[in-house]
Amino acid sequence: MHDARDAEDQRLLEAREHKLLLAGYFTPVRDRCFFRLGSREAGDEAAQRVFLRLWSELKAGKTYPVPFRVVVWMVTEWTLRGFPMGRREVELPDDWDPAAPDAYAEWEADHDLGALFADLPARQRQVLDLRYRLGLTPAEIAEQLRIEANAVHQALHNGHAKLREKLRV
Amino acid sequence: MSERLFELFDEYAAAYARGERPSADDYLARAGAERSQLAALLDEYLRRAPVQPPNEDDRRYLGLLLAEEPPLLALRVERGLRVDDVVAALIDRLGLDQTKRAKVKRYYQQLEGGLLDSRRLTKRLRSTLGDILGAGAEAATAWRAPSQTAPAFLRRAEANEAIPAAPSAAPAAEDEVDHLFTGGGEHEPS
Repeated sequence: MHDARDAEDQRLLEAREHKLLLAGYFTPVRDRCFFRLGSREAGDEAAQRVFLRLWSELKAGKTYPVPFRVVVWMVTEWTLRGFPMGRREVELPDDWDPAAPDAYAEWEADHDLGALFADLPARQRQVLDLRYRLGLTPAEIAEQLRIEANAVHQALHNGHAKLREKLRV
Repeated sequence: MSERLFELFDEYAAAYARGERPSADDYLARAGAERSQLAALLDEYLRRAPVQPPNEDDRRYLGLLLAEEPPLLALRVERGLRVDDVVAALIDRLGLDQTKRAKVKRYYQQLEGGLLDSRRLTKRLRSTLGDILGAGAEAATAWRAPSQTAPAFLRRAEANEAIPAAPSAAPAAEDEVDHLFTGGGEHEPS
């Protein structure tokens, strides 16, 4: 699901196009910080910390043995951990070792939309993929998969149930 | 969980997947009492969804976040203006009372240092800043000093400009200057 993004990130890393690399993550990081912290002010402060951290590492020539998006979300999680309960003084760990074996093993499956819906029937997974990876309308999905509109809505409903189960919302 | 909540999730996620930039603020506002549940769903989605290519706004705002010095300061220096020049221009163009000069200067320095929430600036003030500092002023005000470096900016500003004393813990009633710098945002009539 993330192959194209990972390849583009790798290209930008090798070309040392660091600002362009980070710009791709600007909106999702900023919005995730907002969603987690509940206010734009706190969210923007957290997002700025995330990007300053990543920027300083990239400028220092740090390399990563895992896809860059995993690094972004890891740094984001660490940053956000310091914000709830007003513990803004909590800083990111300086001793993290991205080269350590299995450092990201659990992250890969946990950061993939496809993995969330893995135990649904194949056709329903296709519907969810077209809706949430490509943004197709239900009518476009029905046409592309040659299925009834009802089947699309049923797949979306089941996908939502999975989300509810996962998040206990 | 209500159907309405899933509809909002579905709408946001599909728009994001198409490469659009759905407004997170608007969606949470539309969720009303289910705001926190929608935030959790969308956070989970963004954590897992493929990241979209950046647009011009992403590049510009990231540049502001990473700026090593306040962009508003850079704009002012680029134009060869001192803080006092900007303050005098603000007072003149906004028709403010000359006795409020120290207060306007204090607010402006906070804004330039990224220490004032720029979303609360009134449209009138934004427009006037644009006239004085150029079209880049709007984007430049979005920059915030990282919390760990903010004291350094403050110390530098204090050394250079001798900032007037901060307002007391029990400030007087809001005046026009307070309104210009803090009365904008969502409550300001369009």
